[in-house]
Amino acid sequence: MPVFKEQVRSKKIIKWRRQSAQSLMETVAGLIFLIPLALFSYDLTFILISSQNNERLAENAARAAANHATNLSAQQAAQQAVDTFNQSAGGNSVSLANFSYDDDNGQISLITKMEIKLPAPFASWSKATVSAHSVVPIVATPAPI
Amino acid sequence: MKEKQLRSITRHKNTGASLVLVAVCAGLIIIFLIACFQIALLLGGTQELNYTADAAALNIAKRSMEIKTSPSPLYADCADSSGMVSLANINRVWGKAYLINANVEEMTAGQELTPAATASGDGAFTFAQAINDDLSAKLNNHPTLLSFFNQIAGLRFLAMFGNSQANSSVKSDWSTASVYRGDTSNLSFNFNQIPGPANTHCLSVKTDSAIYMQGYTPVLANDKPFYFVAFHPIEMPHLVSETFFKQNRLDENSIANISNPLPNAFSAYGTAPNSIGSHAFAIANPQRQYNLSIPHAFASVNLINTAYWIVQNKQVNITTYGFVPETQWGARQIPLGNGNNNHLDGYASLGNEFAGNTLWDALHSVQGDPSETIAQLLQKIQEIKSDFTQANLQQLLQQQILVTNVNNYVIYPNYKSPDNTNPSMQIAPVSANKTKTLPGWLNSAAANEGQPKTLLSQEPTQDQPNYDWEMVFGPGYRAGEHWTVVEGQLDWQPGTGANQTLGQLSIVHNTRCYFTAQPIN
Repeated sequence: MPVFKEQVRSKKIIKWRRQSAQSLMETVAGLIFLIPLALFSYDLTFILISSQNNERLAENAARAAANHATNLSAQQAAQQAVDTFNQSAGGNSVSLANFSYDDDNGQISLITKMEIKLPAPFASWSKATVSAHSVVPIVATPAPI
Repeated sequence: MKEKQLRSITRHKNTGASLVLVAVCAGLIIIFLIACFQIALLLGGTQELNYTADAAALNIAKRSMEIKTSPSPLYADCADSSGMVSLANINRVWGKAYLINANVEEMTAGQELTPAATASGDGAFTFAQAINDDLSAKLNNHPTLLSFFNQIAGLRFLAMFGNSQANSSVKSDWSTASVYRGDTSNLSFNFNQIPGPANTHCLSVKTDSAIYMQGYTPVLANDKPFYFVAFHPIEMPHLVSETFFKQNRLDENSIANISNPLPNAFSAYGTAPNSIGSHAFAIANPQRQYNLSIPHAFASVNLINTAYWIVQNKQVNITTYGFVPETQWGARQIPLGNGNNNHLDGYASLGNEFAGNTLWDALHSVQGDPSETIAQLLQKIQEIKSDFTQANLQQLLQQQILVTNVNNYVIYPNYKSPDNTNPSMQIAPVSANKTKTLPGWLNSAAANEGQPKTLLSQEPTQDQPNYDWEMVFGPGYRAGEHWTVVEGQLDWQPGTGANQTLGQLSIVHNTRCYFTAQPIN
């Protein structure tokens, strides 16, 4: 009788272990899929936010430059806006990729490039680069005489 | 048997439960991720659209200065270097119209008004209003504003809306506004530029650097309302909030007594291909300041020396004399009585009133205090150049040597800038052979519209500074009494400035030379 009970008990244990292992395997398999997905979404969110920050930076830099009536001072103002952003960029590096002061048409055009360090790198994909383009009128020039 | 089947089903249900859970979670996460991505795109795209609308509104505000109209000849002197009037210099036009009407108001108060002066004031207002109305129509022209919008919107791409572009159309909202009401305009002035009584009800805004005409606040002169577009000094075109803009929209909040006030703020409305729209509002500013003035104007000084020759209480001749002492034989062989052999020759020493040979000396040749006359002349010149001082006027008059046979001198502005600003004041004699030195625009023959008035009249003096003597010939008469009566006065005939001339100062000397002969019984 005790032998029988022992046999039944061990069968139950084996059965419970088999079921638990299966669940564990499923969970692990699920996590293997879900964790990268979560990390990827985290990266994507980070890229989107950084991209929007870059857009805002390009706009601010262009607006700052538009308040200057000469090419040199305008470019310096744009660069200063980029430098100021860089100081609080949290690891991302931004550069003024292109700057055009079109005095004839009264427009400033610039491109800022942001190199984003991904918070959850995937193998060789550890960085992403986004760029933003802005065109604004030069408001510093007085009306013609 | 049934128990066995149930266990089997339970085992099957348990098997893969986590997998299903993972799949469901993954699905939800993916859906959530896609939703977040779409929302991020939408928000990012909207932000890009807002930036585009902002830039386009700024472009409209900036380029509003490029919208121009051609002025009538009366206001050609207020135009820019291209001969046009825009939002940048419209206040110069209204400033000139205001000064002309302030001059008319001065004539009314001084009872010097004539129909010609009234017509000048009315014409100045009407022509200024016509320029204003034409410019107003152009500044509210939707295709023009749309083209300014597209200049910027066509160069910007909405990356998060699939690299599309913001669109607008002539039917979009292109509302305009007149903001900064009661603040500064871009027309500075000094109160001494404005003749009384208009200067008692002139509205101004004082800053640290200058006094400006008040923006969008009607000011009366000659019972006509004038206004000036408000622009803050040292300010660039910039964005403003929708609330601020709406409070100052002309269609919702008009300016009393002003017809078609020009806007100084503009709106832009752009839409993305997904029908999301964005509004932006910007204030224009020409970043140019002007002084209140009548640019092409002048004042003149006229010298009139007349000798009246009176023999036996009968005027026999009228001559003019110059600015240096001279002897004239004005009464030549004037017959005495009925006899042919009796006649009188009368002589006079004239021109002794002038102690010096400059125009300043000529001004002081009339005995009395000429300060009122100088102030009158100075005020008119300040209508041309606001910072012209009495010391400047004295220097100008002192440097002008009286020219023989020239009686008229003009004080006029000389411009080096193409838009007739910052003149230097000059003085020159007006004569047939020397008018080449005067600028081409100056019409020295222009008529002053007002009635002349005497500002200073000296008491008549006898035998000084001019005096006379006589010689009587013939058997029937002997020399009698002879004397001179010398009078002098400073007269002022005002002009409105509409015909260029702001007035003429006349330095008048009259010498009456009396000669008598006594019959010999």
